[in-house]
Amino acid sequence: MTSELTDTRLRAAPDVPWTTIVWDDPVNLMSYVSHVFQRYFGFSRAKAESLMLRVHEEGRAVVATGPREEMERHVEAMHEHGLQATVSKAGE
Amino acid sequence: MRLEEGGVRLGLAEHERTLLVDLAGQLAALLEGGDRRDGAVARLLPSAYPDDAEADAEFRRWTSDDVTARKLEGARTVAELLTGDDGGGVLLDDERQQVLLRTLTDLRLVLGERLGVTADGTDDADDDEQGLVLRDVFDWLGWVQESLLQALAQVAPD
Repeated sequence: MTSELTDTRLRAAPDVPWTTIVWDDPVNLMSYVSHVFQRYFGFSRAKAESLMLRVHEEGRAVVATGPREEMERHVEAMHEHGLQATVSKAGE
Repeated sequence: MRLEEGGVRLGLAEHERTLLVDLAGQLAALLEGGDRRDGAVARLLPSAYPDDAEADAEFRRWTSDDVTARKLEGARTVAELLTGDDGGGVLLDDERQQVLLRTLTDLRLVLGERLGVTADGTDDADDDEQGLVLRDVFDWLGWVQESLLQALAQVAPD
């Protein structure tokens, strides 16, 4: 029983997804945020605008989910573009 | 700002070019100084882990030099492009468009920080002369950026 539990935990650990969160800020233009989402993530205009509006209205939006290293690369790119972005474990 | 074969032509007046070159130089100096106690520098290099000091330090160790270097390169590229404009405007290909968009963003972040820009306007009624000039510059940079984005939206796919 114990070994099964340990096994499950070991297997589950790397599967915990991480997220890239973009935060609202008072400076960046809505059109620019949407442009970055289209350009960097390759989102359609509709998807980029809907995410940008979520950032604007709710203060933040999850823009990507996946392994931690990948999320860190996204956040680095967002910082390069001047957007406020953070890395979190999914669900936090 | 008009679409042309090969990109977008940015036609700024001479005094506007002088201003933007000067601002790009100030941005480069700020990035070279790299003083994170300065709110503007902190905004240019925000935390990826605001609730985890250890992860934040680790992330910065791996990324902040690269992000700073790319922002510096952008500021210098914009200054060079505009210095080379003899009055006929400057043609921005795809790469130059992105560099200009990012550098305009960095400049607005710095000015926004200096002005205390919040979602509802400006923090303290900064109505001294310098504050008003900075506010005008801030708005003008936003206008240039918006014009470029509108031009690009005309040719971008949905």
